[in-house]
Amino acid sequence: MNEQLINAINRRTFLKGSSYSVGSAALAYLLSHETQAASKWKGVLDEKLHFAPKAKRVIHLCMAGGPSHLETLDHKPGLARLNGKPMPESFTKGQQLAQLQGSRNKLKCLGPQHEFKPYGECGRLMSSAFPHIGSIADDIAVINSMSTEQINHDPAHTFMNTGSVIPGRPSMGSWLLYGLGADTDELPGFVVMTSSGGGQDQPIAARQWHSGFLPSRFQGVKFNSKGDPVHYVNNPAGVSRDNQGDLLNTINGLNNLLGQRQNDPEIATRIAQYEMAFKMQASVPDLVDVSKEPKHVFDLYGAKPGDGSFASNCLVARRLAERGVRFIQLYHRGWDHHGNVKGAINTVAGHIDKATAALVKDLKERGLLEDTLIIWGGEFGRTPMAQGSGRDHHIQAFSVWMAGAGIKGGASWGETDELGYAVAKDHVSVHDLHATMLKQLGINHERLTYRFQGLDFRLTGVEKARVVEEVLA
Amino acid sequence: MEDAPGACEPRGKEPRFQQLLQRKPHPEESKLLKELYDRQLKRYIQSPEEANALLKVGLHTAGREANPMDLAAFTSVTRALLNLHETITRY
Repeated sequence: MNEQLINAINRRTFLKGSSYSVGSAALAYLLSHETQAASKWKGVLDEKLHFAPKAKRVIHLCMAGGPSHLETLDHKPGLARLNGKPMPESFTKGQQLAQLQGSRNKLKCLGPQHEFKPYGECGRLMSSAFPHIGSIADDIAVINSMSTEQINHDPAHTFMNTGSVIPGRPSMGSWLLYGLGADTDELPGFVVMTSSGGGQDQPIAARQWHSGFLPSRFQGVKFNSKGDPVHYVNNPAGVSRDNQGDLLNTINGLNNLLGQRQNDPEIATRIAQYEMAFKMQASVPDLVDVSKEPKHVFDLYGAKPGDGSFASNCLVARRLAERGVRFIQLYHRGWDHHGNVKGAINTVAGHIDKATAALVKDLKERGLLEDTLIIWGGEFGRTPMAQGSGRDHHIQAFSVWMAGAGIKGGASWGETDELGYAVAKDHVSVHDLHATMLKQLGINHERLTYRFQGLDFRLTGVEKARVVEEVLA
Repeated sequence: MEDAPGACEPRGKEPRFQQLLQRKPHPEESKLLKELYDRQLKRYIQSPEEANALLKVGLHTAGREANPMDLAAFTSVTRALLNLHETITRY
């Protein structure tokens, strides 16, 4: 049974009268449930961070579908040399494959479909299909030695978001809200937007930004990327803002009375969300009013606001970052390149390349990059073996990059083998990536925990996770 | 719905609390709703044009027999009831 459902009176008595050591933060949290959720949530760490934080916020650019590391960030001339030749069986024997499973005897290598060129002062070799990302080569740190545990999109996203393949665990944005709160109470602290284009648009389920066993007020809120980010923000005719506030106060008062009779933590969430909704009626129009953005900003992103594109979402992401949102997650569903990986990479590059670089440059120009951590990457990589003209899902190797907030620009870390099939050196797990992200936010990943069903859960799971210090400045 | 909950209630009666929540209101709930009604009525009496604007929202046309200020105030009370946690979530 959920701890929050323990009889409220008993719990209050326990918390107030207990001589046992209950962490003061946890105590404050539990008591806040007793009274009103409405007060601003400061996070269990409440400025008592484990490290001096470099990052105040995170923007996760989730390249959904499984971007090919071989056409983006992982340069593999060895694979080019074997183009069209059989994939050496020593690589694939006994290994889990996705759609190529069962056709092992016919596995053939597919050489990189795009040329790699050196970019930036660091001279890192990167795909020429993404020249704009190339132009920020010195701002980003690339990790080429990621691997994951799940070979299909949805569970792999679940793993990337929650550190577990079992649905029902909190997503990383929810962990951050639980730990840190947000620097705004006018907007949700965890905002998600999606866009598509460039490949099969695999679905993204709302459970990817779920709060799991954490209180539901910490779940991500999805904004529309096309048209108004939030529907029905305006009051109906004949209802003034005062009038609406009066109504909301009464509803919250009635919900509060219900909360005194029912031990349902969702009531606290409902009250908090209604208050948030009322504030958003004022804050969202300001968020989307881009009339004061100079033309060069639109040109930089290549964005037409509210057109549903990744570029438009990137511009909104910057505006959310400016307004104190803690975790911003943009999914671009366009990377599932089972066929025609060459052309599809060009198409998806047309959607994301310019805007991605624009976001980094724009944040930098505004002095926001230094405390904004950007994470770019997908849920897995793609096979060095051909699937027709494309590549299949691949879990043994993929690439991500990070930028901003104490990340060492120009750094590269980790290597795959000569064909880009498996990690050969300096493996980085998804948990390691999470630990690194948390470190930059001032959090020791082993110390941000939540007790559920008798276990102290954490984002990085049970096995030892390692902060990737090598990509930190 | 032909007979939308709380669409039109004669003044002074309980709005359709029972119909929405399948129980009678507790006294403190009645008090909050009554106070909301009173405040809303006062607002709409002060600006009847607002009341008329609110009554034009939606597909249902208000009957001529209804007092617009009264009906607008009841609309607010009904909006409150329809949006309660208990209305949305059954226990």
